[in-house]
Order: sequence, then C-alpha cells, then structure tokens
Amino acid sequence: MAAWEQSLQELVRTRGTALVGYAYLLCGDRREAEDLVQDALVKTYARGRVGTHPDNVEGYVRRAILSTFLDGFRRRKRWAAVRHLVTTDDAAPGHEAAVEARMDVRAALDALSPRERACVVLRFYDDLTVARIADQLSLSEGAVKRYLSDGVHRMEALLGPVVASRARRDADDDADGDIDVLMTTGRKSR
Amino acid sequence: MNIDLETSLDQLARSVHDDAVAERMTGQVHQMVAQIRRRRAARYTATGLVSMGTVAAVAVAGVQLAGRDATPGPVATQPDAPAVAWPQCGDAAPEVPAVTADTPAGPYVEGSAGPEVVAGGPVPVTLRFVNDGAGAVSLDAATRTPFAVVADGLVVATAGLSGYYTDVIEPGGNRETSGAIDLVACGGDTPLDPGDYQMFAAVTLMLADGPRDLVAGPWPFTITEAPASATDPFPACGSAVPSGDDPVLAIDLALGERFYASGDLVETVATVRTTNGRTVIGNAPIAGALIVLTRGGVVVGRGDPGTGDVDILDLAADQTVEVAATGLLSLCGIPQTDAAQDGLPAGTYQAYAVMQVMLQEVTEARGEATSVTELVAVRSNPVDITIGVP
Repeated sequence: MAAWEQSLQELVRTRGTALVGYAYLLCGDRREAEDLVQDALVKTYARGRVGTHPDNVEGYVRRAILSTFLDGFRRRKRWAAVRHLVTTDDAAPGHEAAVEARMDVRAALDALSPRERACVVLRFYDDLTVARIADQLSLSEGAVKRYLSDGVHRMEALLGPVVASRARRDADDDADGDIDVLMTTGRKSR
Repeated sequence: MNIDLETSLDQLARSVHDDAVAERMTGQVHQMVAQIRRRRAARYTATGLVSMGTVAAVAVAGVQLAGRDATPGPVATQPDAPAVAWPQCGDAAPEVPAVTADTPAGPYVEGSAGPEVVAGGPVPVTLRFVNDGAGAVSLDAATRTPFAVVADGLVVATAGLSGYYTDVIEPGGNRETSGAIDLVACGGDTPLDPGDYQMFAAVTLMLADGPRDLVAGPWPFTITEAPASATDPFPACGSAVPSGDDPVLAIDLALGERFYASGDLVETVATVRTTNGRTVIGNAPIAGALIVLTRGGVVVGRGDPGTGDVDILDLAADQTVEVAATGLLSLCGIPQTDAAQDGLPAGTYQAYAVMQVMLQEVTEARGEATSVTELVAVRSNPVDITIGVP
C-alpha cells in the first residue's frame, strides 16, 4: 500500500467525523457533509504535494471542503430543496433545551448566504482572524467584515442577541477593533 | 435568551459524531483511493502533452539559435491550432497514459457522453474542468473543442463544439458545461451506425504560463436504431406538439392581440419557470426561445433558430427568468399544407415559444435529486396568432 493510501486511511479513521462536523456547519446536511469531505479528501490526495502526515494534510482538506462548498452551487440547490424536510435528526434525549438551541442555530445558519455562512463558521467555529478568513476565501478583509456583520445580524434577527466568549471579544478588540459583528450588547459602530 | 454562538456551533458540529458516520467514511476509503488514482492518471496525461509541447518549443528555439530567424517566435499554442495532434478519421484512438502515483498537481478534465442516443440524433456531452493546481485556470472560449469518436480502436467520426463560457477557475474549483454534438460518419454524410462507441475530447485551458492542452476520455456511449416511424423531434417542421408529458420546465408566453403578416418577425419576452415545485439546472441558449406556429398540433411555421452560446439556467421552484422569444412567421416546407408558395396562408395558428435546454440536474419537490444529461424542448402554453389582413 502506498504511503498516501495509509495516510488517507489514518486521516479518515482519526479525523473523519471531525471533518464531517466542520462540513456540516457549512452545508447543513449530514450526507452532504460526508460527500463534501470525500470530495475534499480526493482533491487533496490527488494533488500529491501535501505530504502524508495526517496532521499536515487536515489543513489542506479543510480548505478543500471550504472551496468545494463555496463552489458547489448544485449541492446547495439540492440541500435547499430538502432542508424543509429535515426535522430533529440530531436530537438526543434528555437535553431538550440544548437541542432546541442547536436547531435554532442551524436554522439561522440556513438563512445565510454561502459566503456569510462560511465567514461565520470560520470566525466562530474555526477561530480564524479576519485576515486569515480573507486569505482562505480570497476576499478582502473589508468584504469579510461585511459578510460577518451581515451574517451575524441576520442570525440575531432569528435568534435574538448573540454572544461570543470573553476571549473572543478580547481578541476582537486587539486584532479587529472595527468589526461590527459580534454582539447586540456592546456592538461597536462601523 | 442569548445564544452563545461559539458553543452552539461547536455543539452543532459535534452533533454529527456517531459510529455510523465513522463507519460510512471508512467504508468509502476504497472508492476514494480509486478516484485519486484516476485523477492522478488524468494529470499524467496532461503532463505528457505538455512535455510534447516542450520538445517542440526546444526545436523552435534551436532553429532560431541557428540564425534562420532572429526574431523570437511564439511557442505558445495558437488558439486555432491546438498543439495536440488530434487524430483524424481512420487514425488510432488518442492514447491515454497509464496510471502513475507521482503525477504533479494540475488541472484536468472529466466528462461523459450519451450514454444512449438514437441514430442520427445529437450526442449529449458533459465536460467538467477541475483545477487541482496551485494557480488560477481560465477556459479558452475562443477554441472550438474537438471531439473524436472511436470504435474498435479507430476514429470513425470527428466533431467540434463551441459555446463554452469564459471563466476563471480558482485552485480547488471546477466548472461544468454540457452540450450536444451532431456526429457524421467519416467519409460521408450519414449518421453513425448503431453500436458502442467511445468519445474523446481535447480541451485547451489557459494557465498563467500559457495554454495547456488536455486529452480527456474515453467516455462510452451507445447509438441505438431509430424507430421506423420516427420523425424529427418537436419543434422541427412537421413534428407534433408533445402531449401527455411532464416537462420539468415551462414557458409562459403572451402575445398582444394584433394581426401579423406572413414573414413578420415576432420579438417578445417570455418567462421560464420550473414545474411541480422542481429545482432545475441546465444549459439554455443565450438567444432565448424560438416562436413556432402550429396547426392541428403540428409545426407548420418557424424560422431558423440559428446557433449560439449557452448559459447556465438555474431555477428553483419559486424562481423565474425572462428570456427573449423571437420567431419568423415563415412557412415550413411541408407538402401536406395548402399554403401559398411564399408565405403562411391567412388564418389563426397556435404559437409556442420553444427553447432547447440541456438538463443537468432535476430536484423533485420532495427533495429527490437526479443528475441527467438530456436535451429537452421546453415549450410554452399555446397562444393564438392571426396571420392576415384585419
């Protein structure tokens, strides 16, 4: 077995579900997320330049998931046609409040445009700075800020006030002081 | 209630973690390995072709150094003269190199043909341009894509297809386009005989360092016998307006109440929509819809639709798009009609706006998505139109 095949097996075994979770935030559908991850794995390993250590390859795979999601309008169309049929397949017994909040967040994510959604996920889940998001999406930092602002405002309209962690607020103050994206409470002006 | 976005997103991502996901992903490894090998093989094809180009470039440079021409000449591929030695009728099929594991990253082309067409009918083809390289790639819209049809290892028909849109594909991205090509057997003007064939294509992609020619294929397809009673499909002259079908797209046409003269040009705007809550993706002509005239359910008048570029048509259930609808009120050459020689006889006709759409994907209202490659004649509601003096 070639080294890249061993690397692929190892990455799928150890990080497969985490990658699917990341893709799920972007696309909003489990099976679609699995397809996205598979496509990204194939793209990444087909390049043959990314090495074979799973830790190194995962970053490339995540980026490929992102680009595949943003490029895959047909997939999104498919999802848009069926998302109203999705109910509570993620529900786990005994955590009704948490599950309800999760479903609300998922529905709010669905209301975002693909780029807004990508920016929100990269910012609040992947913990990337605006500059790194801009680099990942090949956008200007100003465009990323606008997507983040619009996306969070849209989510707030559906969810109510959105809060981020103290650490994140500190980071925003330090690195991205002019971002108008985070919270209804204490929102900064543009 | 305040929502902690970070925590909620983290919980949402973790909500998909279960053994079934891990099992499914692990079960797909073998399939992924096969796909990766194929893609590496496709890139090896591209590399081989570029190497051929490099040899040619070195040869040109050698001639120049020898003093025969002091002016540096172009070594890049000319848009109308592909570097690939594309096979002609009777030549062997384009060669596809064997799989290698060390192929460098780069753009490549996937595709499909058919898979089954009636003898004499156009063959649907789909090309998917994938950029797995590090730099942006643009499609070369100026180049007509040559196709070769192979049977028993030899080229038995060649054809070309234009109409690709100019577009830039960023690293990691892809673009798909499709169309239909008419095939004529080598050495004559007859359609290919029924049988099994393979389709190959040569595609020119523009990279930062110049054009790159790629060979793609083989894509198997089958030509079947045409039914004995078959006529040209709607909206050809003499064809019948289909009935009892369930078209995935429809056109809403409205024409003002007025009298027309034979030979008039009708120009209006029609609205395209999906039917029964479907979402439809396909390629449609930029020129829009053609207006044809019928009587008794048979096409009796139409102009030449011409040819032109296509664009992506992407309509959800609640979306519509306006397209131009044009038609020349001229007579079809149908022996059965009692028309005057130079025009449509006066009277009332039923006009339809018709647009040829190459379907790519249809998603039913209940969410079932189907990938298709089918050329359909999308038509409007019939609208009465009167030819003659008021």
